[in-house]
Amino acid sequence: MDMGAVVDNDVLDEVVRMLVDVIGEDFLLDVEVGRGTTFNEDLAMESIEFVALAERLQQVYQGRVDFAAFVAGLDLDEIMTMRVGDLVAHIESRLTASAA
Amino acid sequence: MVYVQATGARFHLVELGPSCGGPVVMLHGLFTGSAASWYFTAAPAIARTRPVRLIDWRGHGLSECTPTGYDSATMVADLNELTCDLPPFAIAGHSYGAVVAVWFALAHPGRVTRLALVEPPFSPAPDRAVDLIRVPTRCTRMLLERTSVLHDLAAEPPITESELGRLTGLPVLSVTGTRSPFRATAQLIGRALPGARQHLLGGGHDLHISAKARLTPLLREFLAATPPGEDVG
Repeated sequence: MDMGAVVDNDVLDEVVRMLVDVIGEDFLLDVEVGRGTTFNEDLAMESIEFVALAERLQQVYQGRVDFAAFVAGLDLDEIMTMRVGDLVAHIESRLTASAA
Repeated sequence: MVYVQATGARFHLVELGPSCGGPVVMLHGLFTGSAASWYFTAAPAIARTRPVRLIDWRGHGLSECTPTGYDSATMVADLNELTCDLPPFAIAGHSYGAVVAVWFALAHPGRVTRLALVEPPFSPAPDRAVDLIRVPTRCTRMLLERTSVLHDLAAEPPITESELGRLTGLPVLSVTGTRSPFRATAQLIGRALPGARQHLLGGGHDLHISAKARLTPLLREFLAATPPGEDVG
């Protein structure tokens, strides 16, 4: 079994559940969210919805994932073009680091 | 997610940073602003060393959109309730957030330790405040169509040189953009508060976004814990 793939899907599934909470199921009906999905263009997320997503990340992953610190290191263009896969990869790297 | 019921509305707050250290409250501007205005710009850097509270004003971000209450007196009351659990704190305010910050500091002088004003619109405004809105959000449309915000802004008393002068003794930083529609505010602050630190950065009214790389360290340094009353001439 490829344990890495299992962990990846767990995090992706969790992020998709949070997205449903934040922007509502109706908005996601026509979009299949995957790693290549962009928050801004594909999901039309407004910046405050991104903050709401960050707050849910904080609730679920506690101190293991610091989204504010993550975005502090990015310029605004990078934030605007961020894909779901970028966020999932960041969460995974933080979870791996905190488990080590 | 932090929601607080205060002054007749449900407000959304964002808390960042450690629990110890002198707190900083960051206030966004009207219409396109929200807690995200600071969350994606200067707030995370400031929150490395001190607690930071971001407020969604009524009708903005995830706070309740009330039909009225967008005048500075109501928003000062909102801010008072939304910070009643904090010891004296520093404020960073962008645009109308800077207006509320000044009125708050005048009304509650013992509660504010430092005041950072980013693009303060104290000088005569453009004919239509809505002209500053480049990318309307769902929230902006609701505000303009269903609330008294434009009426409240039109009826707002200006902040005068004499009122600003009453802030003497409070460390004040003012940052203005080279393409700001409110450039004259810098002269007003200079006359009223000659000890205030003033900076001019390349950019327009959205200075917190367009000049993020230069503004963030300025704010971080200024908002660092310093005994109230320090001379920052």
